[in-house]
Amino acid sequence: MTNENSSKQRVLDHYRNPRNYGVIEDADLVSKEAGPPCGDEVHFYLKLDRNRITDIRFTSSSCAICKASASMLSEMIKGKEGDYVMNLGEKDIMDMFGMDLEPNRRKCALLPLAAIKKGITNQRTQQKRAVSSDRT
Amino acid sequence: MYVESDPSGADPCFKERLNSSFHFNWGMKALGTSDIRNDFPILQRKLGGKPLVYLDNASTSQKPKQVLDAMDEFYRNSNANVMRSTNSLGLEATEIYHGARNRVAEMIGASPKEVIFTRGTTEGLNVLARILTKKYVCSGGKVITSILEHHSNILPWRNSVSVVGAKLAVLPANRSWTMDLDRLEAELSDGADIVTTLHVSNVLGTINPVKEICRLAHDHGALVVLDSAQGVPHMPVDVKEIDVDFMVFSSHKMLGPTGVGVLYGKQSHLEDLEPWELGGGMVKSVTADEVSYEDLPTRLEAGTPNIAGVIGLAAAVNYLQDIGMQSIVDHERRLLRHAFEVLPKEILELYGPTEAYSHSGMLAFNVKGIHPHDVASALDKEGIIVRAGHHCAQPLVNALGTTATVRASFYLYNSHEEVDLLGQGLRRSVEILT
Repeated sequence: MTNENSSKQRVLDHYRNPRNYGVIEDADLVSKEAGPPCGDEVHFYLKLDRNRITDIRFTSSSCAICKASASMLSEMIKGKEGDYVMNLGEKDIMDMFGMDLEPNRRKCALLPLAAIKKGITNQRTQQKRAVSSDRT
Repeated sequence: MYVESDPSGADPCFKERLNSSFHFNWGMKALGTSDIRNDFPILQRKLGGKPLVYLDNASTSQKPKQVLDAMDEFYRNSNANVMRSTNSLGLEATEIYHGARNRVAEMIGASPKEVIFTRGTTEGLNVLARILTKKYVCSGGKVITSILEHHSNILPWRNSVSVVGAKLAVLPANRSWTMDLDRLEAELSDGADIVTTLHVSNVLGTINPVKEICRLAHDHGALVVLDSAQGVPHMPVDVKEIDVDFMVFSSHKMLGPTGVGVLYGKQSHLEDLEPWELGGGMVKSVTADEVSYEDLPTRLEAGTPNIAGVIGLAAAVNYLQDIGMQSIVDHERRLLRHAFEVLPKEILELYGPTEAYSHSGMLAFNVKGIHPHDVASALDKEGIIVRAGHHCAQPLVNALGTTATVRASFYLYNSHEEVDLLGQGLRRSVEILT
């Protein structure tokens, strides 16, 4: 089996049997992103210990590429620090897929990372505001 | 030489019954067979090793060699600017350009003065929204549209009414997914200036009762703008019979090139309108502080037009009319009926009415449990091109209870075999993705 082929099988497996699928009721961070091209929507639920992601779940109403991406990403970042996530980019997601994606499907693949980054950024902004309002 | 599908002018239903078992029109060129398909170079190509099955005609149609040759011939032999030259080449080009306008006007039952060339339906709707709202809609006035519309028939009006402080009433659809005439009449009775709606839904293929809409609107003193982007390419359309005030459509959805569209307006209306673009080719004389404009249609076409594109459109009109628009209606209905028979309904969610007679040749559906983009990708691997998404009609798609659908849309070159391939491709998508 070629690498491309095994990558395809792995992606298909993540789509059919998504890992970390579901909701965390008492999540420390909830984040959502929607993408116009496919009408994809993905929600992430994170438990945090300071900056470290101790647990992660997601739900999605999305195409196969987006769902597989969220599933693989959730495995990749569980146990990692927020900064690690913020430093991930398009190339990391493409490496995670290990196969060529058509340009319009790349957007679907990138949506889950955008969702988590948005959540972390929002939380950091709120924390900064909280700190500065404590000072005043 | 082709002949009209129905030279006797007999009852079209009778002919449809007679033809239902085989896909020939009365005579010469059989729709959906090599008779037609050989005219379309792109249909001979393969996609990933599979023959191309093109079922995205509501997005854009393919082009026959007659259209490509007409444009090529113009550029090779007759190219010059039109309307302003007195040299023989310029006069020749102008004559060809006028001839092309005559052909297009004839197709829709209009006078050539009533046919203004644009870049496409979107430009036509934007222009009409801007200038008609400014001229006819006062602060507190109202424009009526519907939830069925393509974004290009909602957004320009939303913008234009806000500029004058008027209201945009967006009517819901009735049960058969066409404009609700009772609601329309209620809105009109309440006072409205313009009704703008589509002829045929670009998602469901349902056909609006346009004559009724025009009659009701006119009874209440309102103007009607018709978006016929999915109408004119697929059925006989006569603007005088419909009695519509303005109508717009695009060349590229009816075998012609991209970048050309038509804005039809009743002559008396067009004469009332100030030119919306100013420049070359549309003035009689300009002095330091005065200008007098040309007569219709030239006064509404500033600048050098898309000459070759218009010639391509006229060639497309010739092609369609040689086959006969009623033959195209009949053919698409047979394909649709076949689709309702052979597509695997047990795995599908179909949207809109499922009677072929009420439809133009397209259908919207989802494969249960699979995102439409994944279905489209799986079909793509089989060489089958469909559209997936919200089809630039998000309010309608949301009203259907979903965020996106697959859409297969047919045209004169599509065959029953291609519908069968679509069915097989859909079954295969389920095997791969579930």
